[in-house]
Amino acid sequence: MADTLEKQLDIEADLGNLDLVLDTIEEVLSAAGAGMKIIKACQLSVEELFVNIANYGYADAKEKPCSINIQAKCDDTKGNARIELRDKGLKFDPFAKEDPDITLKIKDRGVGGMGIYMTKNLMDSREYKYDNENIVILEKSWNL
Amino acid sequence: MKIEKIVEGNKTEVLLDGRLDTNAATEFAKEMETILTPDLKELVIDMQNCGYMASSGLRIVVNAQKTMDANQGTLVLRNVPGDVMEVFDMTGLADLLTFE
Repeated sequence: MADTLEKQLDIEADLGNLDLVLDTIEEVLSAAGAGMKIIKACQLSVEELFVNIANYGYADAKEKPCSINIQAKCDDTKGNARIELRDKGLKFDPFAKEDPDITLKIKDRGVGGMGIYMTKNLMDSREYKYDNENIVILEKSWNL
Repeated sequence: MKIEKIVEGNKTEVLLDGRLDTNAATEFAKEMETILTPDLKELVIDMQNCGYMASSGLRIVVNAQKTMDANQGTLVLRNVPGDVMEVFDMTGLADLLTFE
């Protein structure tokens, strides 16, 4: 049996919506049979991107539209999640930056850079493109 | 997220309960500002009931370790669940922090 589940959020890129984003990911992915490990990996990845958009993507703009499309497919043996984030904020490729140096000692650690690095590590694939808006596509698969 | 704090002299234990996402991290960071006094010698963060940590939470732990180093004290992360441990691993922090 093959199944596709999908949910689309058209929201403001505001931290007040973070719970909704994280809960919706859990709802769609768990319905497709993903375990908590996969669900958390997707939640963390989307959180890091969403928080960046909310905090920096729109500078002082009044409206901060962001759409998040969560799609999960599964059959009897495996599942796959595809999550697409779109925002109309400043053009920004989150994956272009060099990875942080993870061999640094505690005293030499700065404040940023880890979130997107985590996203890169947690997802099977991630893609950025620009088409009048920022588009990020994340994918993660699992075995059932 | 629920944050419980047990203070005994210059030792403080913090128990985290719930998702340590970016919003919870803001709350946790505020709490830590009051906890990380110059005379604090032992800090324990218990994560038994915290199975999710974003990079904002990671940053608080790194800052706490910096403060405890400056205080010549100790930070122990207790009962860290597997998924959170993976975040410490992936960011190169697993060998730099103390777990029990």
